[in-house]
Amino acid sequence: MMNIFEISEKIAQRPPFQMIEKVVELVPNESAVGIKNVSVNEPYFMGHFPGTPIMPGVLICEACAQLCSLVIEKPAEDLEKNLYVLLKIDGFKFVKPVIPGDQLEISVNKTKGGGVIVGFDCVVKVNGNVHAKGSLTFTSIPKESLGK
Amino acid sequence: MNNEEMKQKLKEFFMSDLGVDGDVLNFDTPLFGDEIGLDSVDSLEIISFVDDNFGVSMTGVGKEHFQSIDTIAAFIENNKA
Repeated sequence: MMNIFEISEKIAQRPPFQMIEKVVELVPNESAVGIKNVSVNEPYFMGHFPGTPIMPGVLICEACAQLCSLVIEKPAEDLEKNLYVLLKIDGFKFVKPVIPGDQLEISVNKTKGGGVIVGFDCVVKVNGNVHAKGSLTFTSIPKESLGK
Repeated sequence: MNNEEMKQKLKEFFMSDLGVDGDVLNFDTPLFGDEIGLDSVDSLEIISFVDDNFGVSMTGVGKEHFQSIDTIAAFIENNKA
């Protein structure tokens, strides 16, 4: 269990790009269940779409990715040198639209990794119904290589 | 696992995980050429698969070893414990 303050100690993203607000289950390096509350006040609803607010699928993927990053345990010396980044998005389906007022219950389970890549299966539910699902793969890159 | 079984296992991985069409993938087909068209993201998947399934690390290995299923299998054969 982690609240927003504990989450902010672990991840670098900040509002309006912080997509996990509570973690209700966490097994380090294996799995997690996290919560995101979707509010009509979120800035992207101004344009996506005017008068018909629907949460963009890429931001649902981002919410899953942020929860995955909380599952991956990283030694401090690793974090100083390396950045964990999204490498692949596989087979994502957006089964039902996510709209303001929905509470996303996001489950992520590690399927492979420990070496150069780490893979997760992700499921996003609202009121027990699946709204999105797919797989994400991450890798680490040396910070000094960025932009080169 | 003999050499032929190893190559078949690699081929099945390319088909199921990397979406390569088995009809055009032979053991000597260039993986990163125009026909199959794998990229650097796929090479990380190959490294991970080989490490997990054969216990051989291909991190930092020259790209000549990634040219085909034949060359990957030869590298595994020459470097397994």
